[in-house]
Formats: sequence, structure tokens, C-alpha cells
Amino acid sequence: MLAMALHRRVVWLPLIAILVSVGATSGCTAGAALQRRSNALEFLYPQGKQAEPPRDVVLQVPLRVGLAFAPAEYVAGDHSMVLSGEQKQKLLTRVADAFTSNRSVRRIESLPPQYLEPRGGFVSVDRLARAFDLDVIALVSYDQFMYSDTDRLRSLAYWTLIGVHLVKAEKNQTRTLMDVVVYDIRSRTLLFRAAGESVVNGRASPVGLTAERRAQSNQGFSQAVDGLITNLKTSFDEFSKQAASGTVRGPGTPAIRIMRTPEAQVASAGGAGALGFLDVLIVSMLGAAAWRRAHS
Amino acid sequence: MTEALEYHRDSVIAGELWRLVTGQLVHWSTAMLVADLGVLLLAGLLLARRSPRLLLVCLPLSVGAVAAAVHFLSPELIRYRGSSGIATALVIACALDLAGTPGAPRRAAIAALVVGAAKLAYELATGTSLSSGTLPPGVRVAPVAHVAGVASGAVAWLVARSQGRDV
Repeated sequence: MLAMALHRRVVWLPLIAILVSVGATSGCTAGAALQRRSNALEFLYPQGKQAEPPRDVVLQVPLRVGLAFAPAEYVAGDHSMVLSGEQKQKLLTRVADAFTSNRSVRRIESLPPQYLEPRGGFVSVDRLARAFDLDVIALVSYDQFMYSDTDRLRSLAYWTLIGVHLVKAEKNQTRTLMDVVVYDIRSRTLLFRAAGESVVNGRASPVGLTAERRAQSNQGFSQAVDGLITNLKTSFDEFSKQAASGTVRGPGTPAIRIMRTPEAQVASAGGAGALGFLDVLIVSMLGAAAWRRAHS
Repeated sequence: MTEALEYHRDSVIAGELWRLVTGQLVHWSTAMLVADLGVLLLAGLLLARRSPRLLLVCLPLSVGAVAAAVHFLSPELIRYRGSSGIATALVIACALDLAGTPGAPRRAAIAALVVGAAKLAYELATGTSLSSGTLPPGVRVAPVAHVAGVASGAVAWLVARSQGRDV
């Protein structure tokens, strides 16, 4: 039931998001506001395509993960401010680096943005999975609003998988939301998600406004990625615990089975029996004190 | 034989629940077995002489706490062996028990608790042990078991103290 509800939401959200976002920005004077975004949901579940319901998941650990930005969609403002491929790759590398020591991850491939066709859906993901030998795909969405307009401040709508997120815009402010959804490619099932957010306040002077905006934009993405990495690690840990109970996100969601390769089993073995001379010293000290007390 | 007794996450999920307990009775190496059982026996004997009730409360509580900690708090751990969690619980219960005796026992207990806390903090911060020696490849210290041992030792001491005066 829950899966169906989420499924319906996934289908409708992009449409709602577009309507709300357009409503939020349509009255702005040219050059006053900049919005740019990429949306994993619009990519995975494009309008007019029937979405497949999620199925039960079998994951082979350690995982082979593909990490990519969902295809970008330019919305409004200065065209020169589009997030470049190099910037995207740097941000992806930071996210990937945070998981290199995770023993549940065999490797993370940072995929160039042009490898994903706009609105390509899982057909495009399947091609990448075959080419790069991937188990799961982590798709990064972003939504950045930059405001310098003093008169037309309004509430802006960020959309995420969990719902529309309304914020109040302020003058000379850059708001950035980054969101990662992690899908099992075979079953089309959402495993977990995480978001990172940042607010950067800038100067009001129109002199050097473009450079200032660019700096604010980069700072916004950098800070949002910091939050994203932290939240992604938390979400991954929660997912691991939840998966141990046999379902992806609790009762009513798809079942999950984790298969561990022999390599993973050895790499993840943990011995708690790590007592040594210090512990022997501590207990000997206690024993000696008790013995002296008993014989004094 | 030890593989059939060790904690193995997938096997436990599949229903082999005894591994939650027996995993704390088997070890990765002889050196580890000697260190763990040495501390366990010394602390156990000390408690048995001073406060049998505390020992009886502490043992099952620590076994349960360590099993729960390994299974629920360390999802990345797939296999686990060792009785350091139980041994840690007994040492903590011992130290708290001795802290109630004035003079050398109290001083020794406070020193033991301070050194034990520093050791645990180091393990949590670095994920390695100061004194455990060499572990087999792919095996690392699981500080979560020691945290569970400390917590269950302290709870056992409180429970036993509230129950009677042989503590």
C-alpha cells in the first residue's frame, strides 16, 4: 500500500513541482533571479511514461555504485551560470571519496552528465548499468535559486522526493538544495535518499554581480554537498539496519535480501575479543587491591 | 566447528539465533582467547568472592547487551567472535563494586575506571585497540561490544545494589 502511495507520488511530484516552481519565478524581472536545477524524478519517471512498480530487492554486497547528476534543466536567469561538467565532476568526486572506505561499497563510478539522456528513465540507467557493471545508481538532483531582486521576494518551492519544500527568499541570497536518490537498478526500487541544503548571503552591490553570483553559487554547492555527505552516510547506516530486518523501508515496502560475496565476508569480519595487556593490568590491579583489603 | 558457533549476520537473520550467544564464546586466535578468558576469569573470580549476586546479574545481562549491540548497532559487522564484551562488563561491575570500599580498593577502582574510559574513548575514536595485539586479516576491533559491556556492567551493578546488601 505504502509502495503504491509512494509510486503515485513519484509520478505526480514532478508535475506539481514544475507548476509550483514556475509560479514562484514567473513574475521576476529578467536578471534578478536565477534558478537552475536537475531532477532525478523527472529523469526516471518522465511525463507520459508508465512507471513500473517497485519489486523485491536482492543486493550483492559489496556494491558497485554509479553516481551521476540527473540531466540538468535550465529554468531562468543568466545562461552563463549553468553548472559546468567539470564542477559537477568535482562535486561527485567529493561524494564518492566519502564512501571509498565503506566496506559495503566495492567501487563508485562518477558518471559524466552527458551519459544520461534527458528523460531517459530506467532505459538509460540500464544501458549505464551494463556498460559500467553497476548494481545501484545514485542520482543527484539539485535546485539552486539566486536572488538579488529587492522588490519581488517571494516564497520559493524546492521539491524533493518526500514533498514540496517551501522557503522564503531573501535579498542577495543563494539557496541550494541537493538531493540524492539511490535505486536498485534491477528492481527499480528506491533504497534510500538524503539531502543537503545551504543558504549563502551575498553583497547587494551591482558591481561585479556576475562574479559575486558565481562565487555564491560555488559556495552554495560546496556547503550543500557537505550536508549531503553527512546525511547520506546517516541514511546509508539506517538503510543497512532496516535491510537487516528484511524490508527496504519497513512494513509494506519491498522485501530485501543481502547477498555477501566471500570477499565481503572476510573484509567485514569483526572480532570484538580485542582485550590485551591493558585489560589484564586493570583487572590485576583490582584483584590486588581486593586481596590486600581482605588480608589486612 | 568455530564457524558454526560464531556470530554470522546472515545466518542469525535466517534463524540461527544461538550464534548471538555462542559467538561470544569463540575467538579468532589463541592469543585472543587467552587474553579474553584471562580477564574474564580474573574478574569473574573476584566478583564471585565479593558479590555472587552481582556476578549472576551481570553475566546474562552482558551477553544480551553485547549480542544486541553487535546485531543492531553494527550493521556493517558480518561475523563476530570474542568474549571481550562480557569480560568488560565484569571488570566494570568489579570496579564499581570496589569503589564502595574505602582505601586502596577505592583508589584502584577509580584508576581502573579512568584507564578503562580512556581506552574505550581511544577505541571509539580510532577503531583500533591499544593493546589487543595482532588480529587475523580482515578482523578488527568492534568497540561497540565494549560499550555494551560497560553499559551492562554498570546496569548490573545498579540492579544488584538495589536488590540487596551482598554488593
